Amino acid sequence: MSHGGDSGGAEPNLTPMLDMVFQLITFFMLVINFKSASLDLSLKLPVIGSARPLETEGGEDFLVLNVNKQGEVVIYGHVVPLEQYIANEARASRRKLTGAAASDPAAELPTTVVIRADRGVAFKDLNRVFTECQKRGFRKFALKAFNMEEQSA
Amino acid sequence: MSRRHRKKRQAEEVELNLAAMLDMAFQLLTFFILTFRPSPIEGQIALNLPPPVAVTQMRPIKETNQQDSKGPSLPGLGTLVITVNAAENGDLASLVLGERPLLRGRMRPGDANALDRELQNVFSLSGGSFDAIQLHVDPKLNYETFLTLMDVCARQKTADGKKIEKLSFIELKAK
Repeated sequence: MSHGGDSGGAEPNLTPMLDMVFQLITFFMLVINFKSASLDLSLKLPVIGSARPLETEGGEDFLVLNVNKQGEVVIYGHVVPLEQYIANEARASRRKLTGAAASDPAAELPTTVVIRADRGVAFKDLNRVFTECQKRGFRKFALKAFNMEEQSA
Repeated sequence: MSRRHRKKRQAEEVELNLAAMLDMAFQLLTFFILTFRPSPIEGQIALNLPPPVAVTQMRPIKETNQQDSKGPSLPGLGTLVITVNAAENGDLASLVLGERPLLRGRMRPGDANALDRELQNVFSLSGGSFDAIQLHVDPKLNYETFLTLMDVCARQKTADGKKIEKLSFIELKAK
């Protein structure tokens, strides 16, 4: 009658499950993007048909500014004082300049200012951001937009 | 002697406790699943924007060259001015190309194309008179309309086929 199994309860083979879990972890580790934490996803970006995704070579430096409907600059979820924040970022960007440009206070900064503004923000608030950036030496700007209505929904 | 050793080794075979490792792996997996938030694919319009120099009216290069033998060196030379007025709610109220009214009322889907065609005509028919665009923008104008206009302007090419690089905007005084 006995099946000859006197060694006790059956032990499941955990190895395939562990393999699968490790594969899932690897997938999530590869796709995780901590940079997206700097994006305020509650903003409703404008929709522009010709807006194209950013093509980078990896070495570029970006300063992301989220501008909410009230015209406030939001960084990592916190409203920051514009003048002070841009001044600090400009100082940090200026340190990356080399040669004669490093000592020239009017030199163009290498950082691209990425502006993510709500579609309803008034031009005067946006212009305040542009003017402050230009005053501190930023010249390269990227204005973010969706290129399809579905993405913005 | 050797047979006894083999028996002993078989009995002492090490078994890894996979349960602990699996627990930890599941915790890691839970963390990654909970923090996973695929970011939407956003497009962008890249611009090089030096601080603007205010231009009061359109000044074609040729016209100024006839008056000024020194050539195109004055600020605002060859600059096409587009004045954009906004309604109280931030929508477009009117758009004036130079001194010619072009659009009136809220921006409709075909308006951007109409402006694009008009600007293409200005740049191709003026025979190189203009090489820059300056937008004079109402402070109340909403960002979406402003960006649509900037996008149309950034697409323009001069008579010799070069992309317009001198693009700027200034804020109109509030009424």
